[in-house]
Amino acid sequence: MGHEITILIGTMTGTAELVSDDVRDVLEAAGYRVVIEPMDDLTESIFSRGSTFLICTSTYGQGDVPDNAQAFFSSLQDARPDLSHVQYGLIALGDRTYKATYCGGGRRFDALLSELGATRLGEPLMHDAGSGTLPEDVAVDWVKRWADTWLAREVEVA
Amino acid sequence: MSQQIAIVGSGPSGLYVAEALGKLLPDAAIDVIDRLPTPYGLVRGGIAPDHQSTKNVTRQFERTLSRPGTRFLGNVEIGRDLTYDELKAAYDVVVLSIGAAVDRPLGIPGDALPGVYGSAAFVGWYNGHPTHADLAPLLDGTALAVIGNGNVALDVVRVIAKTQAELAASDICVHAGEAMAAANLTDLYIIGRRGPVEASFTSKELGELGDLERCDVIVDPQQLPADVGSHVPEKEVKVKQRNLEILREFASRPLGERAMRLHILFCAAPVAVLGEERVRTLVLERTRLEQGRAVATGERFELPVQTVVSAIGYRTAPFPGVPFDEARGILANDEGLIEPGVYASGWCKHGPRGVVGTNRTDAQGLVQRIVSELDQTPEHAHKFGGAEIDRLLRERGAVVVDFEAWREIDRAEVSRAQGAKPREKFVRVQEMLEAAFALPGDERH
Repeated sequence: MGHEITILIGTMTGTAELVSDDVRDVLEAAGYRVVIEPMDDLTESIFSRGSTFLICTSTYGQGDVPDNAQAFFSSLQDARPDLSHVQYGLIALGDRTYKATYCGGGRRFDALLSELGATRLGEPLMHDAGSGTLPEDVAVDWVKRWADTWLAREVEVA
Repeated sequence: MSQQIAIVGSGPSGLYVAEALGKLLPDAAIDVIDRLPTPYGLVRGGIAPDHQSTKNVTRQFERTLSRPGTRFLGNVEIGRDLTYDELKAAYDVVVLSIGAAVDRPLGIPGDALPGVYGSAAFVGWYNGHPTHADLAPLLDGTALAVIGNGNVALDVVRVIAKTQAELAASDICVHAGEAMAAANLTDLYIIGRRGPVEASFTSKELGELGDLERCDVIVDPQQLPADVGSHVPEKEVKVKQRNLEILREFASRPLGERAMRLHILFCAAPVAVLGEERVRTLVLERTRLEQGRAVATGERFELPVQTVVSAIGYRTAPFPGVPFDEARGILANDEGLIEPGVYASGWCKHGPRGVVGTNRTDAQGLVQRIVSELDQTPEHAHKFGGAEIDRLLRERGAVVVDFEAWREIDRAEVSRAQGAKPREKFVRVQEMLEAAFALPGDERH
């Protein structure tokens, strides 16, 4: 059985969910098992379900996490669980016209998870809504390389 | 039989409801009905033409409308092609997501003079909404005032202030682009009754005013408080602080020499529009703020303007057969319930507020309620749904634009766009129908 990856979605308009749906299809075709979890009602306990996570989140307002992720984000800040068993990849959606707060939602998750001991696998994908590319297209290409680079070896070992 | 659901209105609210219903009830038959041949509501007709990346949300809506079991029935108007009672008779659940398409009137003397427009009409004009495409607003003066302190007000002044080059990659309709290019406006005003902290601008949109090629921004630094104040809810403090920073930066700029000036005036309440044949003067009264509320001071001043656009909010158009809440300008509803089996969603439920994504959260909540109430309907009691509606529409000779036909319109708009424009919209229903059912020219009759 392939490696299991849990995708956690932070979204306002549903774009991050659409991206996650496409990412899941690619990962499943490559033999991974994928579970998608919108962040709406999540707590720290989600991190006990496995070791490999993909955070896929947009950004809202002044570089904040989207509405559906706020409770989850604060609960992690408050509970400060030990996430040293967790490894994660990051897909951050943003818009460069916001300048300083570009992809802020993803950056916040990145900083918090690192602080809590989790290990990020590879560089994050940051997508600019104004780039003329579609985030799902870019993410699908990115996640293939990401999984090949960081997860394939483990699957072979396992 | 499966659950039969109709959604009236294919804007963000209706399509987020369709998405959530499709996920929770994979077997449901969902008909999304719109009076226009084109879907997406304000994403097409409201969001500014130079904010194309915000319009990318249509990719999700396309997926929703492509889901097996979901249909788009465009160019179908309730009250013309079908009645409300027929909808209720045919579907187990009817969701009304008809938005708020009517401008709230200014309600001051002179507000009906030629040269005064509501923002729904004005924005609909430059965005090619068939209802407003022929507005032909008077833009022959030198000064134009926009009343209102929300993002719509910012959109209107920004689109007017931008040069043709700045709009090159937008989808502003050619008729509006040409009218704006021919205008000789030198002074634009954004006017708010309350102060900068009370304005509901978002920071990105406010900041964009500082990047305009041919327009200087003028803000009176004395109108900017030192801090946001204690009356601001905690959730909004950051955006208000950022807005104040942006406005301070505008106020600190030396007076430029650009061809246009945009004056941002706070604490000014419109009192009257003066003019004989058309707008000549806007009369304003200074207000002062008490805990965020505007209090009249009695001190009046006048602005010589030839065009006024009011962007002070919208009301839902009454829907035949549904009780209307006159005071709030929405369909009368109790947490979304209009009557058993009929629900309201989005702006027609709670009034015009929030961004596109706000509708998604709202829709998910409403859909949970719909599903739990629908669960109480025994399976054999499900109604006939779309089959019955199709029969009625055929009998009446309605020209229904389904999703494939909309895609023909879409392709035609994209392919006729010039230069960097992503599309050139059709602005008349007849043109849309011709594109939808394109026949070689000589076979059309």
